[in-house]
Amino acid sequence: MLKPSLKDSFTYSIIIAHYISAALFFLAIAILLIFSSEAFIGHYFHPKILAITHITTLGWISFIIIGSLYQLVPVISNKKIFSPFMSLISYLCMSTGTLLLAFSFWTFDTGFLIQTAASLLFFGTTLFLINILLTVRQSKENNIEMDFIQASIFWFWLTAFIGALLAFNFQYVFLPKEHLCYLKIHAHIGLIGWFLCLIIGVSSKLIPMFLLSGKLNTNYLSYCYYLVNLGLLGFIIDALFFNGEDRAVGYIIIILLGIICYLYFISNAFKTRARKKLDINLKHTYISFLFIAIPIILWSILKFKVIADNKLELQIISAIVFSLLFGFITLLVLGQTFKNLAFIVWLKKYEEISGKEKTPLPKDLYSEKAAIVQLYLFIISFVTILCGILMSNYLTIKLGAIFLMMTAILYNINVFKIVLHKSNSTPLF
Amino acid sequence: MNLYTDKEKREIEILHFLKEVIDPELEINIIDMGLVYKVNYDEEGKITINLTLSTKNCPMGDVIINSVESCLKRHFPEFEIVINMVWEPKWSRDFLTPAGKKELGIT
Repeated sequence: MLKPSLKDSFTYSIIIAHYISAALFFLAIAILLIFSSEAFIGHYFHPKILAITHITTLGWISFIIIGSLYQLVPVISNKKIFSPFMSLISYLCMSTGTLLLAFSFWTFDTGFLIQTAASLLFFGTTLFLINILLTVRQSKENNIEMDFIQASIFWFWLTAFIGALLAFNFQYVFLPKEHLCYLKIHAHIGLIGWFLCLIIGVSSKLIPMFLLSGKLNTNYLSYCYYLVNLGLLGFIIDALFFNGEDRAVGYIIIILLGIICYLYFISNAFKTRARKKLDINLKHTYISFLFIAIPIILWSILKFKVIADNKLELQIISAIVFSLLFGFITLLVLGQTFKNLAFIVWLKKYEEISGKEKTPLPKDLYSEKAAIVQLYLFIISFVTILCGILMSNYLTIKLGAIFLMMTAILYNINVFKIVLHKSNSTPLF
Repeated sequence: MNLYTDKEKREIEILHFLKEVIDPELEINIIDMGLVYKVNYDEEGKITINLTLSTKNCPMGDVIINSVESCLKRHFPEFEIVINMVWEPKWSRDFLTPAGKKELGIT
């Protein structure tokens, strides 16, 4: 039940703060993309791309995920968040750190500013890790979903740690290998360890619950857990200590096998569902899973040398990261926001009077029409930007970014409609 | 000829009242969802409901339980209401009534 965390107004406010910050960061991404579309037709190690990527991964996706975890971890573990105060300090450090980091990348200030940003982010991430681990430790519940969540938070902390080392390495150059080697490890841990593990852990709990799925075999989730985590661990150790650049494909294939196990579990959840009519949020989710195919196809083209053009290879790498962060993760987040955020606000406002008075439903807290338009606009923007990146055409990227901004505006309108909702109940008879 | 005893008539009436309790996420009442396993009406002043949820971690669990209690208190203010949460048999789509299946889009 959600009672443990949401009865506490302080935790509720922190969750809402994460959702609001994430929505504003999403709008900022679209605006920055309009003004920096030229950067996306060059090498991905471009200051403006680095700034936008970090706002996307930290300010947008991670903030939504962290806000959701402060709600979900108490549900799964049946325990209150260990320290709401620690959550607040973590939020303040991470939001300030994200803003400073984006600014220092945008202006390519690789001195004190980026070091302060990285330190704040590392400190905030450490507090978040400790807080969640101490919450989970109080619980007797033990399940594969919780294992995924704990592993992902550890990977998040490691991503922030390597990120902090890289930030200091700009000025002091103390790391033994090339900067790009650590950057690759940092990006792989962030994308696979943090985002992928967490999405698997959370979605394998929530999606069957929302769909009213039949009995599902969780062994596939266990196979996925070991394949993804061991594949990633192998990749890091080999890259750091044995110069295993050439063997990276092998580790990625192990991770892909894990992803296939997870997708098989999710497809069974959809096949056995009692809820045949999908609402707009579940449609977002469904399409996001179809979009996973895009980065996998692009990666196969790149690794199996289907093309022999260095410039196009760079564009494909950018397209892979873009399609993972936007085609899959952002679309998933866009749909799940209205499901989770509407629940959180609805429970806070109406849990006590539900059954005693006539109350609106969670879906009445946001505009479903706006969510439908948002889905179409997002798909148009995603496809347009992806084509722009692959064709190295910045005008196409700019056009896609304008559609993305329209998506972000609609998204923000709905997010603020939910969080500013005023209690509105009438007597039953 | 009277087909039902007074106790059974009261229990049918309770099932009818419980159709007022809606799962806010699914927008289906708990009777058509098949969440009520047993109703016991005791003339001495006690109503016992054996209730399940579609999943143990259902976020709307507390809301549904509170709504069942409020609903029965409203119709039987003098009665003690006891709600037992039961997890066996585990809820499945087979427990949906034909009306519930129609609501969910199962043909």
